[in-house]
Amino acid sequence: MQYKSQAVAMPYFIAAIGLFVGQIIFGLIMGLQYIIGDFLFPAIPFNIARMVHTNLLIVWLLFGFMGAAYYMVPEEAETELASPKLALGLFWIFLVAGALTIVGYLLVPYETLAEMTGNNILATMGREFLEQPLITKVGIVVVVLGFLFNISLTVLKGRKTAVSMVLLLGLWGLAIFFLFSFYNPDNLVRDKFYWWWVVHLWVEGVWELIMAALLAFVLIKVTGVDREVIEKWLYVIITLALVTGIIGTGHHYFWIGAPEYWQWWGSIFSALEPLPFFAMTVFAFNMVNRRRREHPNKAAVLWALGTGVMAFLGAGVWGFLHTLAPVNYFTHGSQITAAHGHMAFYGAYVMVVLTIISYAMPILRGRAANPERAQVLEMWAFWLMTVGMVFITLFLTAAGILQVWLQRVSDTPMSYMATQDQLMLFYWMREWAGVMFFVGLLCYLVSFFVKGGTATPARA
Amino acid sequence: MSLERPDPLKHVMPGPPIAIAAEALFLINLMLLPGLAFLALVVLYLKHRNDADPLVRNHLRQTTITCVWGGLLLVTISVGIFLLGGFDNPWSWVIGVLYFTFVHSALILLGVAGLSRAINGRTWRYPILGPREDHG
Repeated sequence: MQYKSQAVAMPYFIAAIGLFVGQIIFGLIMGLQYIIGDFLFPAIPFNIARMVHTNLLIVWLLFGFMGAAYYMVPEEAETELASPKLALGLFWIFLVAGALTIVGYLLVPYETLAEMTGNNILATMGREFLEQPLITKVGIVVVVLGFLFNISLTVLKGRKTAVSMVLLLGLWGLAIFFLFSFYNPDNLVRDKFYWWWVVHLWVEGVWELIMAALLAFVLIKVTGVDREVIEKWLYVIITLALVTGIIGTGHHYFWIGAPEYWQWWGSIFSALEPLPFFAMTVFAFNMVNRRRREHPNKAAVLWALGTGVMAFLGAGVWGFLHTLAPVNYFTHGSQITAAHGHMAFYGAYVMVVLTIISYAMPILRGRAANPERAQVLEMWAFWLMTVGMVFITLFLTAAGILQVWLQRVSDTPMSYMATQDQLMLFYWMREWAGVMFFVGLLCYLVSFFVKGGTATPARA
Repeated sequence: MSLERPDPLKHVMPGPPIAIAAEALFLINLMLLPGLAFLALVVLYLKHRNDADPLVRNHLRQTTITCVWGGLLLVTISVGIFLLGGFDNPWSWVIGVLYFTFVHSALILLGVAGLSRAINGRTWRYPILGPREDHG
């Protein structure tokens, strides 16, 4: 690696992967609870398993983003990180706080956890994805502010590139929009309104900037294409992301009690939301197609291309599938939403973090690329996880369409639970697809320990 | 006749503009303006099908023919699923929506590969649907 301080990225990446494993285990538990309702009850009730599954996802992606930034920024800024010690200190704080929160979810009843952690002082808990206790939320703010201070200072003292600027913009946006998680008005309409300012403006706003910056960085490194060419694409992508994504928030205002005009604004702008993801796919294919050299890290190139394709399918196509208000009137909150959520998170954010880990980890371990056998196993992991996720999405989509019909369209509509009984076949198939995904993840883990063959030495 | 092409490492779009336009229209037809973009593509094809640049001919022919076959595949089978299964049958919707989404997405991704090849000044053949060899 070019700068010693880039090494602080390594523990972040390791923690991210560890929490990723936890997330998938809880996903498998929940998948089984859809079929066998009292599986692991009362030790791990469904609502707790779901909370752990989604919270672990968010936390490990944040670890991944931070690790990525600590790796990328010194190289982009051409200077050492402002404070590697601060980065390591914040890592341990974040890891311990995150682990305690998960243990709290699992061992303490949620309402007791709320009482213990100051929710009566400022009520912020109980909202999907933002279930974290107040002290954890404050901890996240402290860690992220320290992280942004460190990263911003590094950029300010060194070279400013479009890639690092877009990354910084995304990361600052992430921090600023998280602040709305502290605002929890009594009025449920307003509560939902601002809740989406965190959830939507993260994943369909500022996170896209982070994703584009990460992808651009890796593509510059593995293709050798001129930075100016890649930067031009980057500008187009972030413009499309912000123009469509910000007003696209309106697709969450359809049925929460907001004015009716949001059905138009939300439908039109969110119908355009596939465009940035489409541009990213074209961008990734384009750059890899015109590369000036075969990079020895073939696995990283595969992850980069996969990110483009899967993000477009999951976030773009599956998002569009149910984003128009007249369609969403029927599909809202069904398994179609779950299908979209799974593929979009995997395609856009899981894969981009795995892309940067795949590129950076060998370098952090002193080589440009892993030995051939390790890369082959990693590519197996890529295909098993990606195909597994495609099947999860397809089965959930099928379940969702049937659910919508039986529960909402049929002349003799069924109750929610009676409908669930009719979806068991798809839930079983989804669970097996999840097992396939997990096998892929295990291959991914093993690939880090595979020796043999010749590793490509890192450049000096 | 040898054709000078810009350096792909220095230019954003080194490929021939008409080939890029053909691939872009193929994608626009799938995503933004179905029908209208197809008509524009046919006009472009008729106007430039004898272009001196083989790359232009390649992309025009591939996109136009794939557009026709892809459209037929998408529309006829989707309509067939609903006609055979009936609109009142939930399984028609399960199979119909999944089929349409799958084929439509596949065509878009192939179009992305085609656009990328056109932008970089390379030939492209759409798998299965694209004509096997370019004449002239």
